[in-house]
Amino acid sequence: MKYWFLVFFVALIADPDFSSANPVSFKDGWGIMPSTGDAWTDLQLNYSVTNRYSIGTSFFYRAGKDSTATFGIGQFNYLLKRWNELDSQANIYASIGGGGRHDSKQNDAFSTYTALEADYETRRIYTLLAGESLQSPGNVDFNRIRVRGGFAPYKAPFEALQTWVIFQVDYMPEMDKRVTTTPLLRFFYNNYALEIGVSLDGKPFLGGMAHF
Amino acid sequence: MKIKQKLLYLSLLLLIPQFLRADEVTITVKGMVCSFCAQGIKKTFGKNEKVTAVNVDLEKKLVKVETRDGESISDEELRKTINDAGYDVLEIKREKHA
Repeated sequence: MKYWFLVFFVALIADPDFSSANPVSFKDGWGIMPSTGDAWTDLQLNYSVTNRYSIGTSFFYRAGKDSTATFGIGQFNYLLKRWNELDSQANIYASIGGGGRHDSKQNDAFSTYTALEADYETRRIYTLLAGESLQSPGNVDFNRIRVRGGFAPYKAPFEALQTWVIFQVDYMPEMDKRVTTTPLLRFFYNNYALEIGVSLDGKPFLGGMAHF
Repeated sequence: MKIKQKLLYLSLLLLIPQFLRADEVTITVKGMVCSFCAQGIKKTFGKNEKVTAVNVDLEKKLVKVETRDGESISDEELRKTINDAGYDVLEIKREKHA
Protein backbone atom coordinates (compact mmCIF):
# COMPACT_ATOMS: atom_id res chain seq x y z
CA MET A 1 0.00 0.00 0.00
CA LYS A 2 2.71 2.47 0.99
CA TYR A 3 4.53 1.69 -2.26
CA TRP A 4 1.40 2.56 -4.24
CA PHE A 5 1.28 5.95 -2.54
CA LEU A 6 4.94 6.51 -3.30
CA VAL A 7 4.51 5.65 -6.97
CA PHE A 8 1.51 7.92 -7.37
CA PHE A 9 3.04 10.83 -5.48
CA VAL A 10 6.25 10.67 -7.47
CA ALA A 11 4.17 10.61 -10.65
CA LEU A 12 2.23 13.64 -9.46
CA ILE A 13 5.30 15.68 -8.76
CA ALA A 14 7.17 14.55 -11.84
CA ASP A 15 4.42 15.22 -14.34
CA PRO A 16 2.75 18.61 -14.32
CA ASP A 17 0.10 17.32 -16.70
CA PHE A 18 -1.51 15.66 -13.71
CA SER A 19 -2.98 17.85 -11.05
CA SER A 20 -5.28 18.10 -8.05
CA ALA A 21 -8.57 18.93 -6.38
CA ASN A 22 -9.77 22.15 -4.98
CA PRO A 23 -8.95 22.69 -1.30
CA VAL A 24 -7.75 26.26 -1.99
CA SER A 25 -9.89 28.74 -3.94
CA PHE A 26 -9.49 32.53 -4.18
CA LYS A 27 -8.38 35.03 -1.51
CA ASP A 28 -11.02 35.34 1.23
CA GLY A 29 -13.07 32.59 -0.42
CA TRP A 30 -14.99 29.96 1.49
CA GLY A 31 -15.44 26.44 0.17
CA ILE A 32 -17.70 23.62 1.26
CA MET A 33 -17.36 20.11 -0.21
CA PRO A 34 -19.66 17.28 0.88
CA SER A 35 -19.50 13.88 -0.80
CA THR A 36 -20.62 10.37 -0.05
CA GLY A 37 -20.27 6.93 -1.57
CA ASP A 38 -20.45 3.30 -0.57
CA ALA A 39 -19.25 3.06 3.07
CA TRP A 40 -17.72 6.52 3.26
CA THR A 41 -18.71 10.17 3.70
CA ASP A 42 -16.59 13.34 3.56
CA LEU A 43 -17.47 16.89 4.53
CA GLN A 44 -14.86 19.62 4.16
CA LEU A 45 -15.14 23.31 4.91
CA ASN A 46 -12.26 25.66 4.22
CA TYR A 47 -11.34 29.34 4.13
CA SER A 48 -8.68 30.54 1.69
CA VAL A 49 -6.54 33.11 3.45
CA THR A 50 -4.74 33.76 0.17
CA ASN A 51 -4.86 32.06 -3.22
CA ARG A 52 -1.98 29.87 -1.97
CA TYR A 53 -3.29 28.38 1.26
CA SER A 54 -6.44 27.68 3.20
CA ILE A 55 -7.40 26.48 6.65
CA GLY A 56 -10.35 24.26 7.28
CA THR A 57 -12.11 21.57 9.14
CA SER A 58 -13.23 18.17 7.89
CA PHE A 59 -15.42 15.31 8.89
CA PHE A 60 -14.77 11.80 7.56
CA TYR A 61 -16.79 8.64 8.04
CA ARG A 62 -15.30 5.29 7.04
CA ALA A 63 -16.88 1.84 7.29
CA GLY A 64 -13.99 -0.58 6.84
CA LYS A 65 -13.58 -4.36 6.90
CA ASP A 66 -12.63 -4.41 10.56
CA SER A 67 -14.06 -1.22 12.01
CA THR A 68 -16.13 1.87 11.46
CA ALA A 69 -14.75 5.26 12.41
CA THR A 70 -15.50 8.94 12.29
CA PHE A 71 -12.77 11.56 12.15
CA GLY A 72 -12.90 15.26 12.96
CA ILE A 73 -9.86 17.01 11.50
CA GLY A 74 -8.49 20.56 11.44
CA GLN A 75 -6.37 20.97 8.35
CA PHE A 76 -4.02 23.22 6.45
CA ASN A 77 -4.10 23.12 2.64
CA TYR A 78 -1.36 24.53 0.46
CA LEU A 79 -1.13 25.09 -3.26
CA LEU A 80 2.33 23.74 -4.01
CA LYS A 81 2.34 24.68 -7.66
CA ARG A 82 0.01 26.09 -10.29
CA TRP A 83 0.51 26.21 -14.04
CA ASN A 84 -1.70 28.84 -15.62
CA GLU A 85 -1.65 28.59 -19.41
CA LEU A 86 -3.98 30.28 -21.88
CA ASP A 87 -5.96 27.07 -22.54
CA SER A 88 -5.29 25.03 -19.43
CA GLN A 89 -4.64 25.03 -15.72
CA ALA A 90 -2.84 22.46 -13.58
CA ASN A 91 -2.40 22.39 -9.82
CA ILE A 92 -0.72 20.41 -7.08
CA TYR A 93 -2.02 20.74 -3.54
CA ALA A 94 -0.86 19.28 -0.23
CA SER A 95 -2.89 19.02 2.96
CA ILE A 96 -1.94 18.15 6.51
CA GLY A 97 -4.10 18.03 9.57
CA GLY A 98 -4.78 16.59 12.98
CA GLY A 99 -7.78 15.84 15.12
CA GLY A 100 -9.72 13.07 16.76
CA ARG A 101 -11.18 9.70 15.88
CA HIS A 102 -14.07 7.80 17.34
CA ASP A 103 -14.48 4.19 16.23
CA SER A 104 -17.11 1.47 16.42
CA LYS A 105 -15.37 -0.09 19.43
CA GLN A 106 -15.93 3.15 21.36
CA ASN A 107 -12.26 4.07 21.22
CA ASP A 108 -11.23 7.70 20.95
CA ALA A 109 -7.78 8.57 19.68
CA PHE A 110 -5.71 11.25 18.05
CA SER A 111 -5.53 11.03 14.28
CA THR A 112 -3.64 12.69 11.47
CA TYR A 113 -4.60 13.52 7.92
CA THR A 114 -2.30 13.92 4.93
CA ALA A 115 -3.24 14.36 1.32
CA LEU A 116 -1.66 15.17 -2.00
CA GLU A 117 -3.79 16.05 -5.00
CA ALA A 118 -3.14 17.09 -8.56
CA ASP A 119 -5.38 18.13 -11.42
CA TYR A 120 -5.14 19.19 -15.02
CA GLU A 121 -8.00 20.86 -16.82
CA THR A 122 -8.90 22.47 -20.10
CA ARG A 123 -12.39 23.54 -21.12
CA ARG A 124 -12.89 20.05 -22.54
CA ILE A 125 -10.71 17.69 -20.50
CA TYR A 126 -10.39 17.10 -16.78
CA THR A 127 -8.04 14.77 -14.91
CA LEU A 128 -7.43 14.28 -11.22
CA LEU A 129 -5.07 12.16 -9.19
CA ALA A 130 -5.35 12.30 -5.41
CA GLY A 131 -4.16 10.33 -2.42
CA GLU A 132 -5.13 10.75 1.20
CA SER A 133 -4.38 8.99 4.45
CA LEU A 134 -6.16 9.04 7.80
CA GLN A 135 -3.87 7.54 10.42
CA SER A 136 -4.52 6.87 14.08
CA PRO A 137 -3.35 4.46 16.82
CA GLY A 138 -4.69 0.91 16.97
CA ASN A 139 -4.35 0.33 13.23
CA VAL A 140 -7.54 2.24 12.50
CA ASP A 141 -6.18 3.73 9.30
CA PHE A 142 -7.98 4.60 6.11
CA ASN A 143 -6.33 5.42 2.82
CA ARG A 144 -7.71 6.35 -0.55
CA ILE A 145 -6.24 6.88 -3.97
CA ARG A 146 -8.60 8.49 -6.45
CA VAL A 147 -8.12 8.78 -10.18
CA ARG A 148 -10.50 10.77 -12.36
CA GLY A 149 -10.76 11.47 -16.03
CA GLY A 150 -13.53 13.38 -17.73
CA PHE A 151 -14.67 15.43 -20.64
CA ALA A 152 -17.14 18.23 -21.31
CA PRO A 153 -19.54 17.41 -24.16
CA TYR A 154 -19.96 21.12 -24.89
CA LYS A 155 -18.41 24.45 -23.91
CA ALA A 156 -20.80 26.53 -21.86
CA PRO A 157 -20.43 30.29 -21.54
CA PHE A 158 -19.61 31.80 -18.16
CA GLU A 159 -22.56 31.53 -15.74
CA ALA A 160 -24.34 28.93 -17.88
CA LEU A 161 -24.79 25.29 -16.91
CA GLN A 162 -21.65 23.27 -17.71
CA THR A 163 -21.89 19.48 -17.74
CA TRP A 164 -19.00 17.03 -17.39
CA VAL A 165 -18.90 13.28 -17.88
CA ILE A 166 -16.39 11.77 -15.45
CA PHE A 167 -15.04 8.32 -14.69
CA GLN A 168 -13.77 7.88 -11.16
CA VAL A 169 -11.75 5.01 -9.71
CA ASP A 170 -11.24 4.80 -5.94
CA TYR A 171 -8.75 2.44 -4.36
CA MET A 172 -9.48 2.06 -0.64
CA PRO A 173 -7.50 -0.91 0.74
CA GLU A 174 -9.18 -0.96 4.14
CA MET A 175 -12.67 -1.34 2.69
CA ASP A 176 -14.55 -4.54 1.87
CA LYS A 177 -14.50 -3.55 -1.76
CA ARG A 178 -11.08 -2.18 -2.49
CA VAL A 179 -11.65 -0.77 -5.94
CA THR A 180 -14.77 1.16 -6.91
CA THR A 181 -15.35 2.49 -10.40
CA THR A 182 -18.00 5.16 -10.74
CA PRO A 183 -19.19 6.94 -13.87
CA LEU A 184 -20.68 10.26 -12.83
CA LEU A 185 -22.06 13.51 -14.11
CA ARG A 186 -20.82 16.83 -12.81
CA PHE A 187 -22.80 20.04 -13.16
CA PHE A 188 -21.29 23.49 -12.71
CA TYR A 189 -23.61 26.42 -12.31
CA ASN A 190 -22.23 29.75 -11.08
CA ASN A 191 -20.43 28.97 -7.82
CA TYR A 192 -22.08 25.59 -7.29
CA ALA A 193 -21.06 22.11 -8.38
CA LEU A 194 -23.07 18.92 -8.10
CA GLU A 195 -21.86 15.40 -8.86
CA ILE A 196 -24.16 12.40 -9.22
CA GLY A 197 -23.11 8.88 -10.12
CA VAL A 198 -23.65 5.18 -9.64
CA SER A 199 -20.75 2.76 -9.26
CA LEU A 200 -20.46 -0.26 -11.54
CA ASP A 201 -21.75 -2.41 -8.67
CA GLY A 202 -24.79 -0.20 -8.21
CA LYS A 203 -23.78 2.00 -5.25
CA PRO A 204 -24.77 5.67 -5.42
CA PHE A 205 -22.26 8.52 -5.37
CA LEU A 206 -23.19 12.08 -4.51
CA GLY A 207 -20.89 15.06 -4.22
CA GLY A 208 -21.05 18.81 -4.22
CA MET A 209 -18.97 21.92 -3.95
CA ALA A 210 -19.74 25.57 -3.38
CA HIS A 211 -17.47 28.62 -3.20
CA PHE A 212 -18.54 31.84 -1.50
CA MET B 1 -4.99 88.58 -19.44
CA LYS B 2 -8.68 88.14 -18.81
CA ILE B 3 -9.10 86.44 -22.18
CA LYS B 4 -6.24 84.09 -21.38
CA GLN B 5 -7.82 83.25 -18.04
CA LYS B 6 -11.18 82.64 -19.69
CA LEU B 7 -9.57 80.37 -22.27
CA LEU B 8 -7.83 78.46 -19.50
CA TYR B 9 -11.09 77.95 -17.58
CA LEU B 10 -12.86 76.93 -20.76
CA SER B 11 -10.16 74.39 -21.54
CA LEU B 12 -10.45 72.95 -18.05
CA LEU B 13 -14.22 72.72 -18.39
CA LEU B 14 -13.83 70.90 -21.67
CA LEU B 15 -11.46 68.43 -20.03
CA ILE B 16 -13.81 67.56 -17.15
CA PRO B 17 -15.97 65.09 -19.14
CA GLN B 18 -12.78 63.22 -20.09
CA PHE B 19 -12.06 62.57 -16.42
CA LEU B 20 -15.67 61.64 -15.70
CA ARG B 21 -15.83 58.97 -18.38
CA ALA B 22 -15.87 55.40 -17.14
CA ASP B 23 -12.86 53.21 -17.70
CA GLU B 24 -13.35 49.86 -19.45
CA VAL B 25 -10.47 47.49 -19.09
CA THR B 26 -10.10 44.23 -21.01
CA ILE B 27 -7.74 41.70 -19.45
CA THR B 28 -6.50 38.55 -21.14
CA VAL B 29 -6.24 35.96 -18.37
CA LYS B 30 -4.19 32.75 -18.27
CA GLY B 31 -5.61 29.65 -16.59
CA MET B 32 -9.26 30.65 -16.87
CA VAL B 33 -10.72 27.37 -18.17
CA CYS B 34 -13.40 26.58 -15.62
CA SER B 35 -16.63 28.57 -15.16
CA PHE B 36 -16.96 27.44 -11.55
CA CYS B 37 -13.43 28.53 -10.64
CA ALA B 38 -13.66 31.80 -12.58
CA GLN B 39 -16.40 32.89 -10.19
CA GLY B 40 -13.51 33.90 -7.95
CA ILE B 41 -12.59 36.65 -10.43
CA LYS B 42 -16.06 38.16 -10.24
CA LYS B 43 -16.17 37.90 -6.48
CA THR B 44 -12.70 39.37 -6.01
CA PHE B 45 -13.41 42.36 -8.29
CA GLY B 46 -16.79 42.73 -6.61
CA LYS B 47 -15.07 43.82 -3.41
CA ASN B 48 -13.60 46.86 -5.18
CA GLU B 49 -15.91 49.87 -4.86
CA LYS B 50 -14.57 51.40 -8.09
CA VAL B 51 -15.91 48.49 -10.13
CA THR B 52 -19.43 48.60 -11.58
CA ALA B 53 -19.41 45.52 -13.80
CA VAL B 54 -17.32 42.43 -14.51
CA ASN B 55 -17.88 40.28 -17.58
CA VAL B 56 -16.06 37.03 -18.22
CA ASP B 57 -15.62 35.47 -21.66
CA LEU B 58 -14.23 31.97 -21.17
CA GLU B 59 -13.93 31.32 -24.89
CA LYS B 60 -11.69 34.33 -25.53
CA LYS B 61 -10.07 34.22 -22.05
CA LEU B 62 -11.11 37.81 -21.44
CA VAL B 63 -12.27 39.65 -18.35
CA LYS B 64 -13.89 43.06 -18.93
CA VAL B 65 -13.97 45.39 -15.97
CA GLU B 66 -15.96 48.62 -15.93
CA THR B 67 -15.38 51.33 -13.36
CA ARG B 68 -17.44 54.20 -12.00
CA ASP B 69 -17.28 57.55 -13.76
CA GLY B 70 -13.99 59.25 -13.06
CA GLU B 71 -12.48 56.14 -11.45
CA SER B 72 -9.78 53.89 -12.80
CA ILE B 73 -7.81 50.92 -11.57
CA SER B 74 -4.06 50.72 -12.03
CA ASP B 75 -2.44 47.84 -13.91
CA GLU B 76 -0.79 46.81 -10.68
CA GLU B 77 -4.13 46.61 -8.88
CA LEU B 78 -5.66 44.66 -11.77
CA ARG B 79 -2.82 42.14 -11.75
CA LYS B 80 -3.07 41.72 -7.98
CA THR B 81 -6.83 41.14 -8.15
CA ILE B 82 -6.45 38.53 -10.90
CA ASN B 83 -3.62 36.87 -8.96
CA ASP B 84 -5.70 36.84 -5.75
CA ALA B 85 -8.36 34.99 -7.72
CA GLY B 86 -5.74 32.41 -8.72
CA TYR B 87 -4.91 33.42 -12.30
CA ASP B 88 -2.24 35.27 -14.27
CA VAL B 89 -2.55 38.31 -16.51
CA LEU B 90 -1.31 38.07 -20.07
CA GLU B 91 -2.38 41.48 -21.38
CA ILE B 92 -4.32 44.59 -20.30
CA LYS B 93 -6.12 46.92 -22.74
CA ARG B 94 -7.94 50.11 -21.78
CA GLU B 95 -10.55 52.32 -23.34
CA LYS B 96 -12.66 55.22 -22.11
CA HIS B 97 -16.38 54.69 -22.07
CA ALA B 98 -18.86 57.50 -22.74
